[in-house]
Amino acid sequence: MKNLRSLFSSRLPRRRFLQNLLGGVGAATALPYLQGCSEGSKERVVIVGGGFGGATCAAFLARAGVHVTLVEQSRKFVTCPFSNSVIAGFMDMAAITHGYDGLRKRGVWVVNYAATGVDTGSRQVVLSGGLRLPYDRLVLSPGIAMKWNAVEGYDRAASQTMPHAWKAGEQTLLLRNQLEAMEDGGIVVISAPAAPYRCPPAPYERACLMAHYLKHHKPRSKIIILDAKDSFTKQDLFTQGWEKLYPGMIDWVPASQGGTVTRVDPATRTFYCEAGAFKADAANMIPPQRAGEIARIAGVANDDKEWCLVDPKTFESTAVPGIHVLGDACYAGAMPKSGFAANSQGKACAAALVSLLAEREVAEPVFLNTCYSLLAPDYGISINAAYLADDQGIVSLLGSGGTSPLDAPSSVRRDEAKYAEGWYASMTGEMFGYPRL
Amino acid sequence: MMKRCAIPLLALLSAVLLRPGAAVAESPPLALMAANCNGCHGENGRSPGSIPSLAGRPASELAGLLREFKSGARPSTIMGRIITPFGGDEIRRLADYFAALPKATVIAIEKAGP
Repeated sequence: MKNLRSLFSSRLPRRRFLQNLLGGVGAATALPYLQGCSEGSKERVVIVGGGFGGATCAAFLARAGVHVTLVEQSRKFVTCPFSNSVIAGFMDMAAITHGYDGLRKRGVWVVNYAATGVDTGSRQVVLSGGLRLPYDRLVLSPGIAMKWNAVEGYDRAASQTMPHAWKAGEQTLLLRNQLEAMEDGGIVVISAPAAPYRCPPAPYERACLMAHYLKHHKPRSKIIILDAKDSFTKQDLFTQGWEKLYPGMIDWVPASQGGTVTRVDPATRTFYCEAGAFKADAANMIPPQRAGEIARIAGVANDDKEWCLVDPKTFESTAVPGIHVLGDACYAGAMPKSGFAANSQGKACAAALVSLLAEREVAEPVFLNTCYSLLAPDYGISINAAYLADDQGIVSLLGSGGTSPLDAPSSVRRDEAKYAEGWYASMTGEMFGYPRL
Repeated sequence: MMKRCAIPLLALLSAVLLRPGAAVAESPPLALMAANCNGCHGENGRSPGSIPSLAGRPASELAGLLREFKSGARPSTIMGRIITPFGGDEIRRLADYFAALPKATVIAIEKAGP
């Protein structure tokens, strides 16, 4: 934790260009002007991955007039935030699915190809089909890859019968379908991984929202969480909610009681751990994870070959100069792997890139994280913190953050559920370039 | 590229941004902090959803609210926790920053899901 010492009192000279990047309406007005400027420019930023980190970074760079190409293999992005609401059946996929036309309108060149390689010598990204994109600065925001076979028997094929649903889309629907097809009195098993993994509270939110569906449609059913940990984020708030909203429906088996799943049998949807063999009617296997594949290919997954170590001010890889890594794929110190964290990093990285391209000193960044979890459609809780970068990496600001109080009345839970939706609308609006209000 | 852009841009920004209250938006960390606020409060402080917009509200109102959230005098769900590490100077400068941004005039929400 770090004390706040005049965070905003810049020791650096004025940087109106950077101010423009981050500064609101002036940027909007100036955009066509800047695009004119950038036509003859030689500096090119290529971003791989159009999620919370990459799309945000692209939007902010375009706003500053930087020539930016976003490489994203999918034409549509389905968000993990609110995908548990889809699994629980009170939201549809369309509500969490976003296209890239808004970013295109803002001047981002969006290329729907897979990035298959990075030639770090000649600074080119290789796309499926062999096309090469030259870059001056490359941003990788590839999210996570599943560590197949880290749990015996859990490979890509197994994820068809025991979905992870940890990348939203087809996997989300597979799990939704299992829950819908289940008889009343059935068993749902969720296997939660050890840290670090994408979105720490999400397995427990998922258990709640699945229980919400079951309570109304299949009330004799049960949910068992097999956990590779002995504690988890917002634990008191979650367990309080389980007892209050879904009494007797959710069992949590921590690692110390044998909850770490070591093997699965996809043919029978069975999870094996020291606590026993658990056969599921709806099986959610959330496996251990690492940085997305392109990070490994580019040689920037240098933290035990799993995550990417970066400079905390610029997000430049400590392994390969000119490559920056954002979001879940990087090791960001005290910041969790969350959509909001990636969004905050995307903004800081865009600011740093503008300075680096202009050969100016990079300003001290500041980051926020705010995560909401729903325990029911009208019952929300949150966790938040502020961060800055120092010699130790990214550290929490002293006194920042916390969680929703345990003793809050239901009106506060209702308000937080409502604000969770507002959080989503604001962030995705900014990321995907929906019309300015 | 940046160097060639900088001079006409400065002139343009001066015309657009230098209005009462805007002079505080000089320091990059303030602008970056405000960009972080926008993660919840909407691009340019204009919210498309259930979270209140900040743009164009009187600086005295915004600063007053933040001070009351920080002290606990005014109950909040999350703002009290978010503003805790920030002091009076930061609060005043953030309030001035958002007060200087124009309010939304057209409500045109193509998609404000979920």
